[in-house]
Amino acid sequence: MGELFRIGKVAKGVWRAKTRCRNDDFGRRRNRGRDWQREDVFVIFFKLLLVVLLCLAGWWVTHRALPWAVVRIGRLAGFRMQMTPLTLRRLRRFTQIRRGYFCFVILTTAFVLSMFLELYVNHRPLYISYEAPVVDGEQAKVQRQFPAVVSWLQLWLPRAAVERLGLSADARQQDFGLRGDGAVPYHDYARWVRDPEELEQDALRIEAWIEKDEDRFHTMMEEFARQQDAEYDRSDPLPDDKIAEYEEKRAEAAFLRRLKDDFEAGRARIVMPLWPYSHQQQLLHLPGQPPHKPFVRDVGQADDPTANPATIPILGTDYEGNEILAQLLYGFRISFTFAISVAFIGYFIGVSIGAMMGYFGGWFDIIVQRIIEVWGSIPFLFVIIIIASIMQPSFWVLAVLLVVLQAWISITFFMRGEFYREKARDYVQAAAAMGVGDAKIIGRHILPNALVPVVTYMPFAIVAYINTLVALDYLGFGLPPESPSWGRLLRQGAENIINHPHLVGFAVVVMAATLFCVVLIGEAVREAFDPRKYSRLR
Amino acid sequence: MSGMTSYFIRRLMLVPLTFLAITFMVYSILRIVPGGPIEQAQAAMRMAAMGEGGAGGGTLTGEADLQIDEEAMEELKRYYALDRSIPVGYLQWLGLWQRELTSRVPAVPTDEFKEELASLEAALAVRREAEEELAAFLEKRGLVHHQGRFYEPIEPSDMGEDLLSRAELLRSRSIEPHLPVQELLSEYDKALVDGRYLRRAETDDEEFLEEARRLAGRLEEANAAYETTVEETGHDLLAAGRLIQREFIPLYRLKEAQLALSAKLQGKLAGHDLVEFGGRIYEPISVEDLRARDEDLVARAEAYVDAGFARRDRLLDLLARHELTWQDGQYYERVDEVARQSNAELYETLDRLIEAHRLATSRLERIEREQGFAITDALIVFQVRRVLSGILQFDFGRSYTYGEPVLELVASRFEISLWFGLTGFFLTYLICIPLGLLKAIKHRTAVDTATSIAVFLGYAMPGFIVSLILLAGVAVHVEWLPLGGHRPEGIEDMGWIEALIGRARHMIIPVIGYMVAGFASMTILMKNSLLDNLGSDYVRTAFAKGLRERRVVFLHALRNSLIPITAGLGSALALLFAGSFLIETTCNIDGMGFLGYQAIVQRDYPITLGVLVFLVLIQLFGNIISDIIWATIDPRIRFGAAKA
Repeated sequence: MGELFRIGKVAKGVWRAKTRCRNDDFGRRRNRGRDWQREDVFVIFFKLLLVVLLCLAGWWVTHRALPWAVVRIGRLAGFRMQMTPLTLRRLRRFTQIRRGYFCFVILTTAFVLSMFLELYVNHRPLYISYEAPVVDGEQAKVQRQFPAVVSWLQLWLPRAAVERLGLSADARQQDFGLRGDGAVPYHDYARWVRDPEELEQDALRIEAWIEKDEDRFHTMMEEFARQQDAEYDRSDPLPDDKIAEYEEKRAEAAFLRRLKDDFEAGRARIVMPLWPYSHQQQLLHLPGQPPHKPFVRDVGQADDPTANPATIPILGTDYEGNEILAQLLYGFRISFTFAISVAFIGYFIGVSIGAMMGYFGGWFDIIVQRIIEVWGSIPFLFVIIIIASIMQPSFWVLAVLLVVLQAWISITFFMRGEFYREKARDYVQAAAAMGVGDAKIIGRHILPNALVPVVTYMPFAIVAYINTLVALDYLGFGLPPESPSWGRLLRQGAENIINHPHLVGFAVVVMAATLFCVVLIGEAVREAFDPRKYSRLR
Repeated sequence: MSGMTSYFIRRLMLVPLTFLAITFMVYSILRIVPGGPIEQAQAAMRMAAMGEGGAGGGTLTGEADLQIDEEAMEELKRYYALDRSIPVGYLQWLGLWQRELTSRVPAVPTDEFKEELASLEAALAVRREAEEELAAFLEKRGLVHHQGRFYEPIEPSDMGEDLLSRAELLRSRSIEPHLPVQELLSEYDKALVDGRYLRRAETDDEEFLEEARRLAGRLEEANAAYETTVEETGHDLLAAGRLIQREFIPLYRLKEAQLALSAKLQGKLAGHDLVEFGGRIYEPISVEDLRARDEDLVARAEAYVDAGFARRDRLLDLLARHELTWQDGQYYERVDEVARQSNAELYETLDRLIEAHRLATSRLERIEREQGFAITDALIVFQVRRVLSGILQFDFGRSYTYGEPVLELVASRFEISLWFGLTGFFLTYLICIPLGLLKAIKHRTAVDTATSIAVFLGYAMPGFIVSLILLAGVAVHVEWLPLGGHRPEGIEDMGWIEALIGRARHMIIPVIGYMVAGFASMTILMKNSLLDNLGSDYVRTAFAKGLRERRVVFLHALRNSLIPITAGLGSALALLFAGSFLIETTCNIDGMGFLGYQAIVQRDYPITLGVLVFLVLIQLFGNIISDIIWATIDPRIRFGAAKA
């Protein structure tokens, strides 16, 4: 507990340092021409420190707190929660295989950390507050919201519960001193909070745009007039809709200038997460069309007087304008959750059926074997694609499809074999002689002794299901388009492989690293549970 | 061995069962869900109509087009057996249920039969001239010529109650020219022409009669001359200078009569703003009135209307249960007795027309059933054959999108896939066996660890992603490696060396992708089985005998370690094709997998099912071949006896 407290204190200090440094990272630095400043080095240092702390916290939770909690809860529930010497020996052997164990620690930590992704990779702020200016001696009202936390809660609580709590994942513009009813543009808000001068800059930018647009309009009209062999006078009044549009823009610029006072008075506060982008946010303000290359240079239009030469430190965007790193991280979570769910459900069904086949034998065994033979011959990827092409499957529909068509089959035979062998052992005979029921013999007596194939094949199954999900997304028949996915990034990269290889590159690197880790774990587990000691003469 | 034989026989017996189960499952899925060819055709049509409406500004033409295309869609539905229930459709697809195949009877080529055409036209002209002359002559006295006699019109009331009712009865049960009625009336010197009753004209004007008889005689001669011409040429003349074969003349006449009746009926109905459906007459009713009567019904009906043509049958079924119908966005209600009483004459005529039309239609249907010839409204004759034609007869149907026979399409693409697949397959063996060997001999050394990393990576990455990396990382930068396709452009004009190199260039990246699929597991399998063997007693014995290591490994251990690898041949091949469409899509190879993928995207069900058939068969036989190989090369394996 003390450790956690320490981390809390450190984190608090970092937050303070963060606000003191007025760090933020939206690339639009005021001092043009100088790319690196001391302040930036601080920012990067603190961010790295935060990442390290986060990883440490994740490791502590995963490998200290969680096992401890599981054991405690298990004991409370009346289980003995003590490992047999055999299991202990296997575990020790597993931890001795360094590369496998190392990967296991990394991957489990990453998976547990990914459950809290919304808290540190999100375009929504962790905290946003605004104190409306006092009008006519009214009570000052302070708006406070925690959008990132709410969006994290939405992941865990059912939608209805979140609604009943009256929580909304987005801060409304009008509550936070802006005009309009939509969500606050958090990035701009953070920029303004950090440096209210930016408001002035934005206003100037809008005015510059109006001038440029007017000029462009006149040029176009001139060109048009020349084609018609007519004269065009540049001082002619603009059409009404143009005037209205410019009025609107000017009003916006004026509003921004007014807002400057608010922000200078420190009425608005915002704390952005560590990586302030998410897969749900389209970065449409970036120059040019998505997909953007990594580290976009925000040069703006060539003739834009307020153009900012700084780079934006992101990994580029995909075709929808979503930031890639956020996509990759959220994609990790969804792929892993998918694979683990499919593996667990599939193994649950497969183990049950295989256990019954091996234990009861006879006609049940023969019939189920034939069914499996028929079922196993289905080209499951093809069939899933056919079904997915017809209905847009959700996460769970896809998982169930995969379980039904594929995932339960392979383990069934292993379990059947194990049960066949174990059934003949003396302890089973003894239990049966004592009148223990079939279900109890299967579940309590044989199953714990027959779990070796389940444990050794599970990592490879997870690899297979991650690959299946990526393949489905890659073909365009996977998860719904709003969910983050590696496969879609790969597809987008594959479609325009000459211009945007980075879409393929990043996704492949993350995917390869993850899968490689899982395979190494699998290899280590197999080695630990099923050691083959090869001896050879020479 | 008998246990083995029965085991394989059992396996083979399961093949058709498996095949049927899988294909039926997929067929049902494809049929149940929306988005089939009908919906597609409809969407395309809607787009076209919208485009036309936008361009022409007229919505009326669009409506008319829609009307015409509904018939085309009926045709489509029949062609793809979508109007049948799923089991029947499936059996038709399999080739265990008769399906109707229509083929157009070729029209008579007029340029080949110029002489016949000319003589027929001449004979017809003569006849028409005689006809006109006679009609014009008789017109002066208000008379009509019929069957070589002269008649004058009378009121039906002058016919006599009894005769009229009998004539009307017969008339309602026959079609033009109402031969039974004529027969009856001729006994009473009366006739029925163009819906008018006639009576034998009596006249004393001999001179007039003489002349009329002469003209009638001429007409008869011309008629006879025309008949002989038809007899001689073996053809009849149709409007617009088209010739028809003599055996189809009754069919044409019947169809023409049916069309005439239909036109008459439609004209009458349109004149009174009515519609006919299923032999019943309906009058329009507004949606509001209907909604006031039964809101729930209207809501359901509107849902069907919105769902488009594919739900039209259900819509009409639903409405028919409530004595309603629907046409062109308008609801109709069955005309009730009160309305019938108020305008009895009209409804009687309509009923008669409907009955006559139904009769003509049923006769056409009988001809179709008995003689196998059908005729369309455009007077094109089709031969209708009922045959068994499905995949058992190697008829996989026709693709919606390509319009080509599926079997040809799949077979031609399969060849391409086979090229890539087999190359990758053999290369995998060529690499994995030496590599596994090396890893086993150098077990737990640096070489083993280093190659293990490659093996694990290969296990972790699916083949298509490896191809994708190679495309993005190598092919983009290396001129020599193409970005996709299965062969260079213009390969026909190349020399064979050039063509071979060109093909090889295109094969490198996809083949590496194919190899990744089996590479890791195959290498590990090889390594482990060799290690097993190296630790076994017979190897120990060989060493003890003092044989050299090289000899022990290569001659004794290696041969036995190859068994599990060779045994995987069949299923590895199956696995290769199952995953092929990922690599083919990535590398843009026009293979079977790519075809299947595109077919799914475009909802081209015949191709989807065709590809599925191939995949399932490869998978099933691959597994069996694996087992057979295994049993053949390893005498220790006993499949049948394995069950304890």
